[in-house]
Amino acid sequence: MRFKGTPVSQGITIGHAHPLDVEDALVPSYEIEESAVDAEVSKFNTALNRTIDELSAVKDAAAENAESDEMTAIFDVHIAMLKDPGIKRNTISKIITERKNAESAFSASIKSVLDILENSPDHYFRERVVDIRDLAQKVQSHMMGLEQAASASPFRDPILVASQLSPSQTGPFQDLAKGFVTEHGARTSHTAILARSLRIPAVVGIPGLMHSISPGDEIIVDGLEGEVIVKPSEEEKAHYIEKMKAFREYHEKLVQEAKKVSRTVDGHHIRLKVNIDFEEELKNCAEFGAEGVGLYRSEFLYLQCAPNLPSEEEHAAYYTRIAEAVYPHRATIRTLDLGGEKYFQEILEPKAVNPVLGLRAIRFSLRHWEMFQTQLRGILRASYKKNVSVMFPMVSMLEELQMARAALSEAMDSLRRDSVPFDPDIQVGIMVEIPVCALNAEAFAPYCDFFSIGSNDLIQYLMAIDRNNESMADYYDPHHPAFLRLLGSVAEAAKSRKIPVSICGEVASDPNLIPLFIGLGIEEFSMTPEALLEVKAKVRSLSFKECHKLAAQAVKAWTGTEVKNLLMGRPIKEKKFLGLKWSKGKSDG
Amino acid sequence: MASSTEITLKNKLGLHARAAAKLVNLAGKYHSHITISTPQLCADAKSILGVLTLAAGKDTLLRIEADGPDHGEAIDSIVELIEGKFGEE
Repeated sequence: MRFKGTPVSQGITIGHAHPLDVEDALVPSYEIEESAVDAEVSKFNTALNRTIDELSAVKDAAAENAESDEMTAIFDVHIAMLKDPGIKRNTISKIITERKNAESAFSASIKSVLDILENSPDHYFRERVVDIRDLAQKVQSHMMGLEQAASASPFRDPILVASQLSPSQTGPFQDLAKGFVTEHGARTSHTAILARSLRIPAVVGIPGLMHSISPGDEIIVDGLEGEVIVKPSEEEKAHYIEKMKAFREYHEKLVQEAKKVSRTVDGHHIRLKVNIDFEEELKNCAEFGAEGVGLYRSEFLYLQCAPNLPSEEEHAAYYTRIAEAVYPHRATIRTLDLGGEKYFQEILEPKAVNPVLGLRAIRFSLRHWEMFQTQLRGILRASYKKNVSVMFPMVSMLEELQMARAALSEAMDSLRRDSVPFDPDIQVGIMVEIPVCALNAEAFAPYCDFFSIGSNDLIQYLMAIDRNNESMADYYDPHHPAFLRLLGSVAEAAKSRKIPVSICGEVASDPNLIPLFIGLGIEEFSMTPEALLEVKAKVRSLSFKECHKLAAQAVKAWTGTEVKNLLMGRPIKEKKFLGLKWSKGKSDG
Repeated sequence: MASSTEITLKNKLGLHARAAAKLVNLAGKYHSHITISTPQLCADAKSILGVLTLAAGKDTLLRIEADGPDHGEAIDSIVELIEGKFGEE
C-alpha cells in the first residue's frame, strides 16, 4: 500500500510501524478467561490511578507557579472525570460479566458517555467530548503498556506513526525512532522540526493512515518524495535500498563541502547559524560549519523539566553548556515561547479558542514576572564569556520590549547584589514575527542589538492561516511579494541603525529562496542543522550583486506565482505604480 | 440512617464544571450514598458527569439526599459549600 504525504525531513528509511495514538480501531478487543478477570480489573485500576497521579502532579506544579486557581481548576475537573464512579463501575462490570479485556471494556464505557454528550443540545457538553477523549487516551495508553514501550519499542527500527505527535510523545523516542509519519501536520509543526534536527526522515499529512497500519508492519518512509509504503513488496524494497544509498553518498559529499567558508563568489560573507531545541543537536553543528546558534528554543528546556519548572540553576547550566559548545561564536537564547501548538496550553489559557492569537511567548512571560526573572538570571549567568544573546519572542508593541528590558535590568541588579558574574553588555534582540512589529521595525531598531525574523509565524499572521492546517498549505507562500517587501523594510530599518538582521524561520532552510533574501539585505540565516549543508553550497554559488538585482525585480511583483516564475528565469512584467501616498512602495518602483 | 434538605443555587454560574468538581470531591469524602436532584433530574453526587448533566443554573432548587453512616455531616458540608457559593464570589 502506498500513501502520499508531505515530505518534511529528508532521507529514506525502512523499519516497523510503532503506532502511538490509541484510536478506537487500535484498541485491542478480545474475550478473556475467567481466571484472568482479576488481572484485567487490576490492570484497569492501575492505569486509571496512574493517570490520576500524573494529572495531580501536573496540577500541583501548575498550582505552585500560577497566580490564580483558574489555571489549576481545569485539572480538578479532569481528575473528577477520571474518578467518575459511573465509568469505573461500567468498565469493571463489562470485564466481569461480559469477559471483555480491560481496554475494550473501558473503550465501550467511554463511548456510551460520549454518545450522550455528543448529542446534547448544550454546546458546553459537546465541548467536553474532546476532554474526555483525551483523558481516555491517556488511560488506554497506560493499559496498553505504551508508556513502558516508550523507552524500548517492541519493534526493530521503530517508525513512529501517529495522528499527530506532541513533544511529550516524541521525547522518549529520540534516540530510537528511525522515522516519523503523521496524519496531520505541516513543514513547521513539531514533528517536522524534530525529525530534521534528528536527521531522520518524516512524512506528514496522510489522513486516515492509522487505519491502514497495524503495529509492527514493515514500512518505508521516503522523506524526499513524501511517500510511505506499508508492507512493501520485495521489488519495492530493493528499489528503496538503492535510493537510500544514493542519498547517503550525496549527503556525504555536502558534508565535505561544509568546511569551506560561507561566502558568495564575489566575496561577501553570509553568516549561517543553527536553530536548536536540544543541546544534543550541537554535535552536528560544528561538523556542518555553523557560526553559532541563532536560535535556541528554550521551551524545550521547560518541556524536559515538566511537570516542574526549570530552576535558575538548570537554566544557567543548560545555557552555559550551549554557550561553551559554540564559543567563540555566539549563542542566542530565546526566552520562553509557549503557546500555539506547543505543550501546556492547559496551564496557559485553558479556554483559549485560538491559542496562537492568545496569551503566549513574551505576553505570557511579562505576566509571570518571577518565572521570567528566573529564566533571565539563568541566561545572564551563562553570558559571562560574552558570547550569549537574549531574544524576546512575539513582541508586538514597543512597550513590551521596554518592559522586557526592564525585567532584564532587574535580573542584572539582583545578580550584582549576589556578586554573580555576567555580561552587562549582553546583546538584546527581538523576534520580528508579528506583522505590526515588522511594519513598525524602525521604532524597535534603536532599542535592539539585533533583529531575527521569525518567518513561520510572520507568514502565518500575515496570511491569516494556521500553519498546522494542511488544507491551507498553499497559502503558506514565502514567495509572496508583500512578504518580501516587508522583509526588505525590516532589513532597511536594521541597516539604518547598523544592527544585524537574520531570518531564523523555516524559509531560511530553502536554498531557492536564499538569493532573494540576500538581495533584500538579509545577510545572516539561522536554520535547522540539516539544511546548513545545502544552504552553504548555494551561498557559495551566488553573486551578491545578482542577488540584489533579483530582489529588486521580485518586489515589483503582485503575486507569489510571478516571483516563482522569476526564480525560474522568467522576468516580471512592468506594472504601472500609482504612487499612492500611504503605500510603502518605492517611488522609483 | 438518611437525611435530606433543599437549597437554592446562589452562585452566578450555577453548577458549572469547576463547581461540580468541588462538589464531587467533597461528596467523595463521605461513605454515604449521596444524590443531588433538580426538579427534573437526579444524579449521583460522586459522579461529575452525573452532576454536570443536571445542568443546574443559578436559582435552581436542589434537593440533596444522603443515606449512610455519615449522612448528617455529608449534608451539612455540602450545604456549606453551596451556601458559600463554592468559594468563588
